[in-house]
Amino acid sequence: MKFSAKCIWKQFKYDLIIFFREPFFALPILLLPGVFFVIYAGSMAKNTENIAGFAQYLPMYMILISFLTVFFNIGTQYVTDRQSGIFKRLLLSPISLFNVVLTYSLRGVLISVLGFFEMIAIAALVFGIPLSEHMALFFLAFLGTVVIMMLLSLTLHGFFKNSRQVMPFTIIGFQYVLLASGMIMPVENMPAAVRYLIYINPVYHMNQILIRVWYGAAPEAAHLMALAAWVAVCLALIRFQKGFASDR
Amino acid sequence: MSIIEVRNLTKQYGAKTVLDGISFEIPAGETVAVVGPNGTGKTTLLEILMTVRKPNGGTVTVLGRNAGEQKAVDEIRARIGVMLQEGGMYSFIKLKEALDLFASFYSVSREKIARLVEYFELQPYLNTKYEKLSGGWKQRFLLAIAFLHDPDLVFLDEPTTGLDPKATQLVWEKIRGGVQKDKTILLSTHSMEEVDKFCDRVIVLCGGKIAANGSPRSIKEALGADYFSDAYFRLVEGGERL
Repeated sequence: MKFSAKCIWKQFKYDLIIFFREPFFALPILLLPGVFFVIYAGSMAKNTENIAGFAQYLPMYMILISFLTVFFNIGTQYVTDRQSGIFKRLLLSPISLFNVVLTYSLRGVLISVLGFFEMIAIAALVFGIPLSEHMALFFLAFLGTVVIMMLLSLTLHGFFKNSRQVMPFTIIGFQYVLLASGMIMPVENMPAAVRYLIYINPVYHMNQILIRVWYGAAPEAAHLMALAAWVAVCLALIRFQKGFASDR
Repeated sequence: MSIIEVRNLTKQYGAKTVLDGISFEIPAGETVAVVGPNGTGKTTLLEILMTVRKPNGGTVTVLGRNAGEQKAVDEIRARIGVMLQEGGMYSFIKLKEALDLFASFYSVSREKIARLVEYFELQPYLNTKYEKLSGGWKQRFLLAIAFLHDPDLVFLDEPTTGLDPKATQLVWEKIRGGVQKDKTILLSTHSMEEVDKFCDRVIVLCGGKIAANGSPRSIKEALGADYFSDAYFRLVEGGERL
């Protein structure tokens, strides 16, 4: 199998070019969260003098960009690329599955990092929100959530064979992340039954961890353990998928 | 010398047996068609030979290597060219970009790419996105990608399906002409006219078994048919075996 830097670079380059050629992916993923951030932070700035408090919502917007890129865009592409034979065609050349997944991952990380700096720039330059004193650690924690998001995305989308099957899943998944992750409504205000839906939502735990790291506090063990459980489930599912597929 | 050797190949999907202990050999340099009704295992057979699928039984040797061994799979994949029924190409990629991408996988030189572009007459479309091409040009481009690294063996899964007669003729000119003319080509098709006209050998699959294996002419003669399509229907619907 071929694994050269030149090969990976070419794949990564054309993967990005193709991504930015699809305006209905690139624009909403990178622009809309920024626009909503400006609208909501602007609204808060009018009603309160303590705009610094809006910093607690920064991780939410960053995670949203990461989710849209890694879960929504890359996840559905993972399914459609298999459906349209792209995956098969790539694997019938001397490159490996690792190359293909690495290329997806590099794009997911790059777009998520762009979203990270977009939000930081808006917060600092437009609203003067003071940045975290633990920015390096916060950035590393954010990268950790992107990696977990990628693992979740590729694992769960591995169960779908075509875009018709995956569409309802992504629509439900998007609503679940928006409405049942504590991003829009505080968890305490929700009915007890709904709270359980939130507690099993990995995005909720990512958000809570990042908020604490932003303010320099250690993440709570419960959130770390919840994400560790999700990672374990994904790894088990990948093994199951491998065993389930009788073909190469 | 045989470039493909298949012995007692069996493939099942659940309880359904798609390939039932078939055996055959393909000599180097021949253009061989695999034909048969829908769902008879043509694509499955090609995909097993391409190393995409694993057989349930039997042995498959491709280019002198046992396709059942993972180490051999990597070597085989580097030496084969493929054109898939599904296409397998990014919609938004420009032709020159796709050529550059696939050339990087096989370490193909720029000079070789230029010769290929000239042979397949792709120059006017190099800056065109794949999705914007007509069906005929898509097939021609996929064919160019299949031949890009000068493979020893080329698999073409229904290369002319959906094309008009002129586009079909042009695709076959490119398959059979130039430096490609001495290559071993294994294809699946539903066009009996193409089999008759362009193929050295044909394998007729029916009910998971080989109903006939030989040159189109020898099969026609054995069955007393004027056209290969007549011979085909006698094998597939009449149940005759050669």
